[in-house]
Amino acid sequence: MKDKQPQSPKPPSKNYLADREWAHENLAEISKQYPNQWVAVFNKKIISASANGAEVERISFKKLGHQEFFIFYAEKGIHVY
Amino acid sequence: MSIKIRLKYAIKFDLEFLSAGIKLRLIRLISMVQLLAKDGWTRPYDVIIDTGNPVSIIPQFIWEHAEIKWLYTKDVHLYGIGNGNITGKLGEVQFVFSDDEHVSEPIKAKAFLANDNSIPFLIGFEDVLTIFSLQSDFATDSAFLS
Repeated sequence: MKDKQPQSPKPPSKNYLADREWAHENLAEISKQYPNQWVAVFNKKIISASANGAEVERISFKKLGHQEFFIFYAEKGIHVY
Repeated sequence: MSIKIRLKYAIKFDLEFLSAGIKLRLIRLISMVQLLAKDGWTRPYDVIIDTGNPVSIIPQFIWEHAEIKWLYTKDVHLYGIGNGNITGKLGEVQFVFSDDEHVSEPIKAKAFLANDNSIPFLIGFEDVLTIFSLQSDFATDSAFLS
């Protein structure tokens, strides 16, 4: 790692935060439909889901290009890490 | 941390218990993190603030975009996550926490960089909760890192 002092990024965009809020409001239903999977959300719609997060990012990039989408892990059941 | 980062409680009812008439909330304390990458910062990722976890654990598809200082390149078993066969290497990464309005200064932290894409991103104690103050008061919907 180079010893550089990076500037912090800007806070996430309003669209990103709206998608995040939507996902958390619908968490139980999303987790039921996509249990223990990575899920990508864009414009309050699920655009990709898979147990493999790399696959979700790949498909989402293919669909959206560089538009910002929200991605999260939809836990189902009781997990004690 | 010079800035107070607001954390979020992710709450859902367990549907299996709910169908049996039992209201069991599954609550996680979460935040957003961006890792320092080779060409800037990664996208934001939701992370679980896991006080039962000694060291942060990052799935491969997230850390492979990051700038990494490898500290120990032998694979070690990460017990209690995934199917029990998850391994990872210890490295140092830089990341920021953010909420809806604020972004923290960059933090250098040791983390296990997992050889797996199917696990969540967990923030543990070492270099994070050992340094920053974690305040959590669920009753008032108030949680911060500062």
